[in-house]
Amino acid sequence: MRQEPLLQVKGLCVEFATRKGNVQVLNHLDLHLDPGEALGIVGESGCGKSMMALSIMRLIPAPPGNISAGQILLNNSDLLQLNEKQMQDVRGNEISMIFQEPMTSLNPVFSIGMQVSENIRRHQSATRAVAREKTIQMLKAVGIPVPELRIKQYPHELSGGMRQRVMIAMALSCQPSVLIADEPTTALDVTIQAQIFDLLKQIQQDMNTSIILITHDMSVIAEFADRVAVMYAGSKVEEGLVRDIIDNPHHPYTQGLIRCVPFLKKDPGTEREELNEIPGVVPDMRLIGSECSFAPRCRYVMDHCHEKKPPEVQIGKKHHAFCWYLEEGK
Amino acid sequence: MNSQPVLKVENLRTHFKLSKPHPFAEAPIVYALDGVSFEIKRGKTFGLVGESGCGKSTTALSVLRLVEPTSGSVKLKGTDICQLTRKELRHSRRFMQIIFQDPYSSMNPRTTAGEIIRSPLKILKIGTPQEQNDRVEELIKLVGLRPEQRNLYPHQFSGGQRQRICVARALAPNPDFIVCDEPVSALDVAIQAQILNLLMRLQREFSLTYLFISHDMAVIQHVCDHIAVMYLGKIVEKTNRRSLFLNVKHPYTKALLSAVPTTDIKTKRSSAPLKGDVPSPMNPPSGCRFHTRCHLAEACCFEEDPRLREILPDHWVACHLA
Repeated sequence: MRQEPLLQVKGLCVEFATRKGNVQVLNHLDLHLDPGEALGIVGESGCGKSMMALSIMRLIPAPPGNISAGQILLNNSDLLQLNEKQMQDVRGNEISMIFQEPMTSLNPVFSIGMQVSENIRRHQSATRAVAREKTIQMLKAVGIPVPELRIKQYPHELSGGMRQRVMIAMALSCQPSVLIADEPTTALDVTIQAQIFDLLKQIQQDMNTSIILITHDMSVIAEFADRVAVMYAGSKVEEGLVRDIIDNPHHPYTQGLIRCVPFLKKDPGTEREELNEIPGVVPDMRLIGSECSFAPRCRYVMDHCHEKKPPEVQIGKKHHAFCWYLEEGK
Repeated sequence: MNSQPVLKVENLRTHFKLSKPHPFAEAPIVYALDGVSFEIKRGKTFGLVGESGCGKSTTALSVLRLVEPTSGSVKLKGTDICQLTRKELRHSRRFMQIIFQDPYSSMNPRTTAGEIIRSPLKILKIGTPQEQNDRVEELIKLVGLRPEQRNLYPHQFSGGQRQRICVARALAPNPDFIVCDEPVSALDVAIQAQILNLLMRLQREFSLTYLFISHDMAVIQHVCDHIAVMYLGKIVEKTNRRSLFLNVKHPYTKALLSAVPTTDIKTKRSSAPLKGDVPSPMNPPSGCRFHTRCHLAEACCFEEDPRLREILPDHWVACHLA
């Protein structure tokens, strides 16, 4: 039996107006998120990962940004049809987001208790005292010791890991059904990163929250996500279950992305080896036309890669990629 | 074969005095670097790894005397950097260079790539203008940029290309020793591989000696011959790269290694290996500095600071229980 997805993104296109003309940052993107699932989004900077997250939150600055086509369905209601007032009831309540740099997303002049309780008071019309209780409970849930004292502290008094915990507490305070984590651990040490992912996993189980994890690090995806979508230059190039993608990547970009990451080995040997690399750089989004955007960096490039957008190729159940080379080899 | 180390650091300490909280108070001291010793042989890469705040970058800057070390000695090809006058120090800068983490903030946005690469030659007065010009052209090709790109400004390059410019600038005076302070941390994974390969290729070609600093164990494992793990201003484990990963001894190194995410399900970790944050270097814990986060800590760890001991050949560990 197939479950109805919780969140669906259908044919999403986002454009930005620049002095040199319109830039299409997202190009007919399709994604879905099932209840209780952790979906990973992976790609290099500039591939549109964060743009996708901001579109779901309706936080794209407009102008210059503009969602030009598509639907974002949360429980079958289209978020793009809501007005700003209605959207405010969704943000922080049904969908929450954690950002990369916790120091810049916390307000330095308000105590953390104030900032966490703000969300609770806004969405649950709770009294000050009730909100305070709830805040302490949330801070305890994310593993902050002595929350009664911590709520009076300001962001600069906390370490990076603690700040990210506060952000998570804030995001989860109204038990949202979807949590978007945009590179939540990039600014943190590996040891703290491990703590934060343990926390997110536990939350996912306890509260049955669905999580969209955005990252550029394949190994983080392998640790955390159930399913993964690989993005390149505003389009999805491959999607599938994490094990399928990592053990058996099909799209040349995914293969390159997995091979170029140095993985920790038990026995590194005495000789150093060269890393595999993907030659070239991410293309200028202004210049992308109606061809495969990965063609200039691809090893298997063919003539019609430069002519037409690649078709969807079904590889397995829940595993598909967009590539001409795979289409030929079928 | 020349077995004399290019760089020999002995008992290096760097303490920072902070401003007094009130006029009669004693100035608080940050013990950023507290007795670090290591040596690097020609053509080899020595890696420093640890969490933020452990003193990796302070080591990098102290070794080049970009911050003034409090005590200890740094010998580059036999001369003690710490004893040099300003003028002598400036002269010896041509043998030691640095590549920083963020390539954009380490370049002047108003000068062209060519000028940036040329600046060390100008400052150190190496060669005639024509020779400098030729050298810049050679360097640009060497790091994989196109000759016509020398007239572009930093903002016109991508992150990876900017880091290539920084590499070219560091290479310009033909140094023996380069400090790489988190050179790939600000870059995408795909670009990271390109820069690491470039650094390794240049090392082979010019038999360069690197001090390589990173917080990423996987990167360190890939590029380093010798590795030291640092915690709160001290080296806790120091060995060659094979031995570090095969015979890991110190509980902190073990924790660091198991915190690294992997794509291998068989080695999936069960839970976060370390609780809490790094303590403040202003007031380091007594005894072994790691005892506050160590799950093995015993009574002796609270009192006595462990010394680095050679447990296996060429494998040094500072732990009472190892």
